[in-house]
Amino acid sequence: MTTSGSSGTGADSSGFRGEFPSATPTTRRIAEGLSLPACERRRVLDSEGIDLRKLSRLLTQDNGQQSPFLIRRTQQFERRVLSNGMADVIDLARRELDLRIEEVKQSVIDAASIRDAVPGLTPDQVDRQRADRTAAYLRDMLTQPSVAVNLLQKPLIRLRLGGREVLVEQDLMVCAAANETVHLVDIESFAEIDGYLDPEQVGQTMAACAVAVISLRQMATTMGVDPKRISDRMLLVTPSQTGFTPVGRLLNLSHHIARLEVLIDNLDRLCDANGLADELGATGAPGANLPAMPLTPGTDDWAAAERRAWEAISPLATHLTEACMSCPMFRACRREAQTTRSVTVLGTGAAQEAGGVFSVTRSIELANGATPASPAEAGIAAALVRARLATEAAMRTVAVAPANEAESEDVEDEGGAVS
Amino acid sequence: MSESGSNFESLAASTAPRAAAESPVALSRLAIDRISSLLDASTPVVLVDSPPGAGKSTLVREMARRQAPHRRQVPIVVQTNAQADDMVASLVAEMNAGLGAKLRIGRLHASENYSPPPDLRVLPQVTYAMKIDDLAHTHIVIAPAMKWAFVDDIDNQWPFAIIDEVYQMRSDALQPIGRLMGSLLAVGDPGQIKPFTVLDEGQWRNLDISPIESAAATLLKTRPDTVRVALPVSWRLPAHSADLVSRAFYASSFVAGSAPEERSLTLPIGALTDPYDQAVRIAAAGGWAMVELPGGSAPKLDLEVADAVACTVLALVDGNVEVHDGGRTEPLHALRVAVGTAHTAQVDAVRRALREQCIALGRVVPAVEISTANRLQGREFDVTIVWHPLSGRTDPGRFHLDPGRMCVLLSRHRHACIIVGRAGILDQLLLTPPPAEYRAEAESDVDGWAAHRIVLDHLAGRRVGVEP
Amino acid sequence: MSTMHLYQGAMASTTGLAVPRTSRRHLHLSDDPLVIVGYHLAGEPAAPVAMMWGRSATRPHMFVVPEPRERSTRFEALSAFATELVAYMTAASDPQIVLANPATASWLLKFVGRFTRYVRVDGATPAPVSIREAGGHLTFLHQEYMTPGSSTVLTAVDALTQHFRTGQMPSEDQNLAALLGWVRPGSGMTGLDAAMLAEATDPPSGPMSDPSWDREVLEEASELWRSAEGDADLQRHARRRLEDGARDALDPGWNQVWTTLGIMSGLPEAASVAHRRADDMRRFRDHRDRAAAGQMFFRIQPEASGSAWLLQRHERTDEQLRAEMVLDDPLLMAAVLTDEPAISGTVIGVEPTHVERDTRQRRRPLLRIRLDLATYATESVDLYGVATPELVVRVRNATDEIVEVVIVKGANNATSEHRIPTVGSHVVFSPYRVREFRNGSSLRATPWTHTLPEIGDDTPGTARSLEVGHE
Repeated sequence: MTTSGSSGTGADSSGFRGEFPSATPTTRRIAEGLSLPACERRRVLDSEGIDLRKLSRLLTQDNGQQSPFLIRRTQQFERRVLSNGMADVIDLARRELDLRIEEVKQSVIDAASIRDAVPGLTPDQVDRQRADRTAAYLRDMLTQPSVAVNLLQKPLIRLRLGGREVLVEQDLMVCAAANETVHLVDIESFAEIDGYLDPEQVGQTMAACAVAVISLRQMATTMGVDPKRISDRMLLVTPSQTGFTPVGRLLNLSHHIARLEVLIDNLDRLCDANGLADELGATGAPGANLPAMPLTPGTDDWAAAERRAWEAISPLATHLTEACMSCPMFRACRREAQTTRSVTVLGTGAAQEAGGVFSVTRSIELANGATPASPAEAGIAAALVRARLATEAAMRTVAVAPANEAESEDVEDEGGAVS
Repeated sequence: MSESGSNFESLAASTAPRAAAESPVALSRLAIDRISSLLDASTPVVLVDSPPGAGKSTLVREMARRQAPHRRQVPIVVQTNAQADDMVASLVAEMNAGLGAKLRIGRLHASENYSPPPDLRVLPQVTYAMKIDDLAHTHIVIAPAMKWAFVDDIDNQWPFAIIDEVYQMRSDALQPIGRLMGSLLAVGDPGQIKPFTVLDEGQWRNLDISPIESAAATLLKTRPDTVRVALPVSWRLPAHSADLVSRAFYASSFVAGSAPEERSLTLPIGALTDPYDQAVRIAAAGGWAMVELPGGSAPKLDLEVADAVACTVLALVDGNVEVHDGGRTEPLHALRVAVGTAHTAQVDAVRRALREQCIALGRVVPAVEISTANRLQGREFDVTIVWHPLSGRTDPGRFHLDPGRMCVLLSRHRHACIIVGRAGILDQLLLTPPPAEYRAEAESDVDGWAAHRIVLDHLAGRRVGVEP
Repeated sequence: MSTMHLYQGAMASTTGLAVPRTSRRHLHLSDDPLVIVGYHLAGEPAAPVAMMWGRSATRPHMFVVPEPRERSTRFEALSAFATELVAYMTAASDPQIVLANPATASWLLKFVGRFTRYVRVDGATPAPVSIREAGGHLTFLHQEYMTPGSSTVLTAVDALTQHFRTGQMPSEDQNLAALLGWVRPGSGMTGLDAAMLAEATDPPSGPMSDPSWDREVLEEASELWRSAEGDADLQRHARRRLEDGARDALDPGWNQVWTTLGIMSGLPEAASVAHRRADDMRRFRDHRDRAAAGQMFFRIQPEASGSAWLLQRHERTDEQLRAEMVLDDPLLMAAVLTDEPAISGTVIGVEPTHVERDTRQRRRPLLRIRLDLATYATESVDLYGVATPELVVRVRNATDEIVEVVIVKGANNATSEHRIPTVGSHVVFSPYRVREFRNGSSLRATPWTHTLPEIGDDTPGTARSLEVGHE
């Protein structure tokens, strides 16, 4: 289960973030960013730990909040699954993963409990404590599974992403540890109906869990433990049918892990995110980094902050596709594409079809017979002309005989051979 | 149970290719004998995975001949009329060479509109009929699945039958036939293009037995006792290709039937000025080459790539290439060269580009075959030129990454394969995230992304850059 | 995706108005449709929150469920709707259900149908019988929605996207308000402005409500209802609060569906719609008979023979539908001419006795055609005459201006040669033709090749008892 992470307000004066609020990313957010790898904006925003929800609100007035009923349902289901000593999880782990968990031991390592335990720490130190404890618990799971804590609330795992180490939060981390392996158990509140799970929800869950496994494997390697002992097989627990009875399903993350690991490794090489962000931050030039979050919408302060934020972001490259619709920045990037008349406003398919032609305006010019300025344009120009000519011919047919079906057929007939 | 990676344990020991000790001929014979004894033991379902050029059709005919004496009649289910005619022709040819000379063949067909190819029309061994009863005197009956579906099961039951191309056959095509036969030998190539539907797939995938999965996938689900045998040798692919294709597209591995020295392409020594000539030489030397245009996104109809493909064709057919194949030497003939693409529009573009270049050069257009992967299935050439399906494409999805199409394109050649495309395909691939939607059966299928990567990695040191 | 899709999208974006994809209406419109819009609780399709339905735009009926998580209030609310639905399905002479979007169709027809059609009408907490009957009808309606070419169930989003292309992404078209903004922006606004405005201000048309509406209206009303336990007046008040809030949220979607029907009725009906509607009605009458006899049975998971047969039937129907639409509509044919192998041009030469050099020496008249548009057509594709479907031709030579085709069927002997097009006539050949339905293999018992092995009580295909609600 993942929800939005804790917000920090500590300024990062040397970087892109400036005074804008930060937020510990979750595995789901990291996975979402990785699903849009051509988007430099997401990459910088994610690796700089920027609070995406607040930024979206500043740029688009979109709150992006969930329904309280959904939140409640999720909490209720989680409570149900974790109740009773997690008897359901133990049972499902045995059935689906063939694993025997003896007993569930849990530990809460959210910021509040660390501050209670060790007062006087700075937020950074608190987070480091959480990460260290998470790592210690992981080591226990790997070395002494029968006595280890196997349920962690609000752990922080370390992920090497884009050349730097990012702390990633999970709401809940449940691990079934036995037989020398550690399996991730994920609890979600979307239901399994007649054996069927919504493919999009499962896909997103698998991506987020793959990020968790990748991170845990990195941590294992640091400890000198074989990373493969973090299994690529996970248990997904969801409600069954219309009630709350939990049901489990074994999911194979190996394809996701393989591909995401490659993606993470290659992000730096192929897209110079950090270089750009550092460059932006280092100049210290006004508008080069994000402003502080303003207080009240509709004020001059707010408008100025919005402008400055947009100035900081717009130099970063983006590639608008239909997959972007779930990103909090969607409306801002879409507005930009609309202003520039980019062909991406028409959707992923149309943009692919257009190939090297990037604007709607140019597409119409080519359709009207403009000379292609490059071979890329030539490739689609002939087809666009054909589309226009065919449309115009069809419109003439329709105009000549609008009401009478029979007559309009004669007009386009093969003359002399009416059957 | 899925199509790939499972059910092999019973046979792994006996058919896994061993080191040089076992010759391909011996390995192949071992597998075939194993299949034959499984049939003799009345195994309910024997599923044979046949890699490209492994002698699948030869196997089908041999097994039909071996089983015909013990059974009253052996039905063979194929998928198209053309395949049925080919099978009749080959059986007859083998009969004339002394194999199964006393057998009688029946060809069941659907309508009065069907007429057999002229050379097969009047043969003593073959009877053509629309009704199964009229073929009662024959030992082997051949028909496409669609015709078998109309055969009435009340009066007709066969304890044993053979299905060809079971991985290309869709489950719903097998469904009406199942009741006709008690046990099956099912043969097909798991690496090639899978069945599909033009309808929205979502409604049809989420079923325990999906009617759009392959017939092979269905059999593996309904008969966990299916014995699966993999043919271990490709007689078509040369040594330097078998390993790559096997690794990229197949769950069980296979080797080349020919030794490296038995196949080669040679060219006269020349100055390496033209990059297309260079590519031909690289392909001749190591079996693979890539002609690489400058990177960038491009529409599906990338005219510069079409031009480059045409240049490659001309460099190949004009290169005075000699083909050495198992002791024989011949000049490379245009008819033994094929161009393969993913889309019909690309076929058209290559044809035009080739024609325009030939007009400019004042020469006749060479008679090379130019077709889509779909139409190239089952065919064989000396050298193939492939328009890389991912060239210029951003955001490749599951459809574009489909391994079956790529496997067909890369497994048509006896000697060499030259791939043409823009630079940056590998980078684009490495940046492609996993599919957003979960598909249960996809987990155990061959991963198209991984397959494409294996191929691109192999091409890394074999690239020649060209400017359009 | 295709070039025509790109071109039309670019035109829409440039002109600021959705562009017609068709010149005809390819669906039937009833004079007496039943329109339904509704919301369910976030994450819980089994918990309807509010529904608005009716046969007239100005007089909708409505129900709300103040405590959506409670089974009894749910059924109480649903029963009024169920009774009306059953009455409509039993008596309407031209039945047609119209919903806002595909997600509503999936929720109401598939999910709600599935979980109400076998609901217990006896025992400790029985559901009203009308709900069970409605469930059977909803399931039938889902089957109709999935049948290519059926007009028994329409969604406004499907109807508009089938006939218009907007200047936004296809996924954005799923928002009915935004989609309508492009098709009918109203005075002084571009399609883009209207769409963006609608997206920002209009409540969703269902089946999911806006999260802030959940927070501000639904949660409050629910709280009120709960705290008014036992006090009938207070409960009535809470219910009215929710009704007002639900009406505000659903009214726009409701009106948008009716507006869509109005826009659709402005298009002339395509020629093949009538016969497809007759097929719809044949199936509907069969369903009605079964319903009357109390025999509405459905399997949760169709067994293999049923799904194989249905797949083939749907594929045939879909193929037929595409051909009919293209042949009925010049604008759709224009898309074919752009993106598929097809020929449109004028005959400039005819060789009636031309013979092809294959071993059969059959007469194959040759046509030389001057093209209106360069063609994709390649040699191995059969093309059919649009006005003379008996003609089957194949391309032999093509340049950008001229193409030579041979007639392989339909004009190849003395009796049929009158069909050969004359010099000067305009011809169109496409890959589409309408044909007679062939008898497919009929539904038979599932053979051993398609029967899953026994794995115990969870054998698929067995009916499971269905309960709507939490424990």
